[in-house]
Amino acid sequence: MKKNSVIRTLVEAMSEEDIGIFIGDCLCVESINKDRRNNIYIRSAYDYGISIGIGIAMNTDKRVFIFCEDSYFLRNVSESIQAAVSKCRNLYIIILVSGMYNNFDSCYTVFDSIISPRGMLYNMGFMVHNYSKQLRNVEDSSDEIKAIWSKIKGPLAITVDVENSEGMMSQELNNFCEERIKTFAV
Amino acid sequence: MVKAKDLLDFLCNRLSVKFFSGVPCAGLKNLYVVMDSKIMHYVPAANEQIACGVVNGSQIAGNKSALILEPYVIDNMDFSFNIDNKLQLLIITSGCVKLKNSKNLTVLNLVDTIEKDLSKLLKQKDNAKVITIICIKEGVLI
Repeated sequence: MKKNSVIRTLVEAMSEEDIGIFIGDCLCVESINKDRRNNIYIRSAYDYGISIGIGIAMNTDKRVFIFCEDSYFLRNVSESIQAAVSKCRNLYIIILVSGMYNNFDSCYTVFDSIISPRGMLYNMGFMVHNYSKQLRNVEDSSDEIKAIWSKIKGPLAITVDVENSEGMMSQELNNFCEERIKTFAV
Repeated sequence: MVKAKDLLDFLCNRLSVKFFSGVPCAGLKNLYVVMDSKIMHYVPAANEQIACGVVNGSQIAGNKSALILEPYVIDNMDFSFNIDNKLQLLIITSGCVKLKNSKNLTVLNLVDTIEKDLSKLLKQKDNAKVITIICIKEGVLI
């Protein structure tokens, strides 16, 4: 499934008050069309996007949804451990698994080689969901996911299989992302 | 000499910094002893980068926060997120850091009394420098 349609469905399942954090240049580019007042965009260059989400979740009652890719997750796996042990009930991490590095179609990540990625997340302390089949088979599953999220508390890790995509940040988009952080208010 | 309790009171009550994260700093042992969950919150982090992220997240959420780190780590850390986004960061450390005062950085050394050495912090407004480091000299904190 295409990355932007997965993002669109999941963003539609979020409520107006929920905070969305999109990590990585490619995700910023893909998600900007579904921009909301409560979205924050963090470039790949900064290696603590999930931690920023933990910090926000610890200081608000609003739900915080962190979107990252498998390549980012693997590079900063200790952040996910910190997120799981924080036991923040308003923290949800969505890992978009393409199995490849962005902009490099022939460079595979080792995510698919992990014997049980969901088992690993569970052992860290997350509750784990996988929405790959749901998003692929049901035409518009945002209402269904919204209903699930209304009942389930975090820390929840969600994995979704997606197609790889390319995305480079323009200077204009970079300025927009910086401005959003400066003006963001919980 | 500065009492650790007085420093914590200064940070929590006068500067309104109530959220802390970091990794253990040997020179600040006395500060950890007096930490009180009734007036502040400390999040032990898996590593320095995570601590920095958690503190930045807390700042973004609108709560004044501080980072507690070993001085040698600070010299090698990348604060570009704070500088690019003009997000203020307060760091507390012991000993000396190699970093010097610059356009985005203030280093305050706590060597004698809180009032004398850290009074600048009380006057800081929103247009203050992005990163402020409080260096507590060895043996000062009791």
